[in-house]
Amino acid sequence: MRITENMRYGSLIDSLGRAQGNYSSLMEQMASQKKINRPSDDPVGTTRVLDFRGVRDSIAQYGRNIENADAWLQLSETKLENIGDLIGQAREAGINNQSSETAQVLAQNVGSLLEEILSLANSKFGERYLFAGSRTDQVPFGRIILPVAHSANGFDGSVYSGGTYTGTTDKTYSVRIAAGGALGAATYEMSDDGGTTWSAAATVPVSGSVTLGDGLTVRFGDDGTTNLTAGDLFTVNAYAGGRTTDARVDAPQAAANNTFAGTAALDVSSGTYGGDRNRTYVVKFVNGGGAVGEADYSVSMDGGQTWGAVQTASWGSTITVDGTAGHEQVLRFTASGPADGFAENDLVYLNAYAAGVYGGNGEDLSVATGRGSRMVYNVTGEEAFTDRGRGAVDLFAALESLKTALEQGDREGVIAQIDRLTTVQDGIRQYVAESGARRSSLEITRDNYQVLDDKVAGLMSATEDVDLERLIVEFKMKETALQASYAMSVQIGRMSILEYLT
Amino acid sequence: MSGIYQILNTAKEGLRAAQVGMAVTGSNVTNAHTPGYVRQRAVMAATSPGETAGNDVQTGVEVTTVERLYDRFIEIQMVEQSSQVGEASIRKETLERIETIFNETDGGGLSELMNRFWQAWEDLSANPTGQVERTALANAADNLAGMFREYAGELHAIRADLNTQVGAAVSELNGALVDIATLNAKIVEGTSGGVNVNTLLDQRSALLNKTAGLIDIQYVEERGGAVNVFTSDGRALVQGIASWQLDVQVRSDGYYDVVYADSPTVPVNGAIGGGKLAGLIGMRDTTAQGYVDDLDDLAGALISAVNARHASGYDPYGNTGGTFFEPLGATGARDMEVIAAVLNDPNRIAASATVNADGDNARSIAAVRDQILMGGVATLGEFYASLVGQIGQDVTEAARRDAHETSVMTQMNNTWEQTSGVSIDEEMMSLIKYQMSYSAAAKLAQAADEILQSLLELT
Repeated sequence: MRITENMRYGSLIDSLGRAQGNYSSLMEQMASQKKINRPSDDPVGTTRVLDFRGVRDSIAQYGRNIENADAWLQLSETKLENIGDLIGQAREAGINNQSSETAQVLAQNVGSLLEEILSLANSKFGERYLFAGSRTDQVPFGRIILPVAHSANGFDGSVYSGGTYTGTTDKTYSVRIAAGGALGAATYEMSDDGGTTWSAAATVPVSGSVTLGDGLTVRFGDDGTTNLTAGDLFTVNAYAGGRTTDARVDAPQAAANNTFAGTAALDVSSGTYGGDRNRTYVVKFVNGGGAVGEADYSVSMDGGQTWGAVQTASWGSTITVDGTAGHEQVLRFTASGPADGFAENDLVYLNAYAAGVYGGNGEDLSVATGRGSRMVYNVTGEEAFTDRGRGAVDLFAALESLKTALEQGDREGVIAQIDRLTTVQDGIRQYVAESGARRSSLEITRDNYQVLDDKVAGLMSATEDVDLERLIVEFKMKETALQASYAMSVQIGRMSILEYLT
Repeated sequence: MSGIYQILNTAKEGLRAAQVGMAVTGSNVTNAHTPGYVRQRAVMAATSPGETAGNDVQTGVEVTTVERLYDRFIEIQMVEQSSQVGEASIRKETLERIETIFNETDGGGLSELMNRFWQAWEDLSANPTGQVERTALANAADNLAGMFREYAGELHAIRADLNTQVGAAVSELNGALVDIATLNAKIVEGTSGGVNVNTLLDQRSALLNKTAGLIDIQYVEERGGAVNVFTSDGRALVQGIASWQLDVQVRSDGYYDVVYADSPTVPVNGAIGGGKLAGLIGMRDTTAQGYVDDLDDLAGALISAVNARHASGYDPYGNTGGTFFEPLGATGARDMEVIAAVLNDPNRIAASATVNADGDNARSIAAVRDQILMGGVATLGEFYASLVGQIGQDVTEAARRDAHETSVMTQMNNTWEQTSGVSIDEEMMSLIKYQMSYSAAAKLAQAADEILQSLLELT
């Protein structure tokens, strides 16, 4: 075989290049401490590492979600426990009611306990109300303006306060039935100074709604078995800025981006909201409709998640958002812009509140705690504190009634309210226990994730991290090889006949 | 008498032959490292005694030709191998460039930004009215869209660069074809005129190799010395002294098609089966295009899944969500954008499934991460991870092939060198040999001169 000059140097350069390549690749691994420095170093490993990273990111995120939910639950638990203790104190006040001298003091105690409980029930987590369901921007509970029926009353139908109290000071209204009978027949007297002076007798209207003053009304429902009876006494403590207990519907609100520039108003033909839960209705326009001034719309009764059939309405006409018997809510649209002013996705929504003072809703708040699994982390004020909850007792009504009963020396009333408070207290204790259970379940999940994370981290490290000891040995070997190549290349120049010709 | 003169004449021929031998050796030594130089050898033959009488043994020497030592078959193989090397090296080079775009090993790439995007939705679901969470999400979405734009943009830049190289390769090819035709003419002329054309042959071999590096060719040598060059599917590129020119035509997507200059409407991309041009066109239209398509598919699936869910939610103003990302247009992921309304006001993000602040819609969007959206088998993240893995695999494969083709070429080159390369050791021996021949011939002349002097002194 002839060995030519080019062959000698060519193969030398090739092998030097290879040795340098190996050496620098190991150098890179030493510097980065990673086996994979670009996808082609290990394509399958790269894919696995990316998947592992995704899994670890998910785990970290679930961990954060769990922290959030846990913090919320922990705060809720503390607040509920405090409320439970305060209810206990209110019950004791009722139990201690032995003499009429102490009754007024106890009534005051109950009043201040009520305020304390109110502020606890309106606690916030950051900027969000803990006990308002998904309406976290709404104050869930307000000072309640509650008509309290005397325990000796014959009437056993429902009675609600209504309207909006515009007075600037607290005031006690009393309504006394002068002559018994059905709505429209019975007569009443009214006092706005706690029963010192009384007005002349007047007839209770068929609607059952009696005007007290300063915008406040009381409405009697004919849903009991016994009509209003002569001598029946109702006391209403009106607090400035307090909430009335009758069912109500807020004025419709339009979404900020609506094309529709007219007004939407509740129609006069709307009945009293008779639903048993707080609800958000949404009217969504599907398109501008066929003719001018007409639009197709759809109605949601659950805040916009599910939608009813598409219907057509024209301006100035009315839209029935809820035709259920007793719920009739009717919206009327009035134009003020161009005649074809509706556009797709224009929204109008209205919040309807069932009887009571709860301003939130019964919706859950939840976060993902795993792939496809979620954890509800809130306790709604509705379930914990209102008569739509487990004990079917309204906490604030019971406290207000207790206070009034104490003030009025109504011993039967006091005892009845103590029983109701016991029911609420038991309910709250259950929620505390449940949220404790949810927290420990979160903790277990978190621990499991920790274990999983460690495993995935181990797998990831095995895939992409260098085995340093082996690397160093290999590095030394390649270094020696490279040094040998250099030594050889110096030698090879001398291996020529020219060295021997003189 | 004539005998002595003949001895002088023979000495003269010996001196001349030794000189030519040394000249050839000199040429070999000085060109020992010239690429493509084929070693030469002075072919010597004894001259015929001519009209001699009696027992005359008057035989001189002459250099009949300066021979070019080469192996025709290894040259043909090398020309073919040049096409393989040309294609493999451009593939490797380009894929390594692409790999740097998709290098996710240090994090900070598309994969991480996608993860962050989903995390931002999760965070928002836990606090749907939080301004910090909303701003963080808008940023994460904007960064994600920006990264998609960057990746797709860089892929397109590489495609555009490949395209420019196609144009350059065609011009280079045209130049080489013209040069081959020109050399053909000179070689045919020189050969028939008995001129030494060895250097021209070396040049033409180099040009054939260069041409084959650009496009796969076949060639045949004609009796007169010209070579005819054809594409692998038999179209003529050079015939004798005539050469055909290729050209490029801009097609509808803005990239070049390769055509014959005399029939510019017929693309011949498909007929190019090797060489740098085949590598460039294949990378541009198949491999890089495939990655672009995958990236577009990924962006498209992500956008439509997020948009569909976003549209069914509500922002804190009570508006329906509408779109979140601008739907992809014809330019694909290169122009991925979060809609301006969301970037200007993160409160336009529809985090809730109702007009209240429940955060359920954000959770539903975050769950897109775990949905099987790609071809019924993979989530978005898995699809991307396997795309990166695929690119890594392609790089490994291209590097392996490049190494293989190069080593085959090295082997062939060594075989070629064995026949045609210059060995200094060998040339030194030749030098010594010719030097001694020269000395011997000079000695002969001296001896002849001496006997002639002796003869003259007799008279």
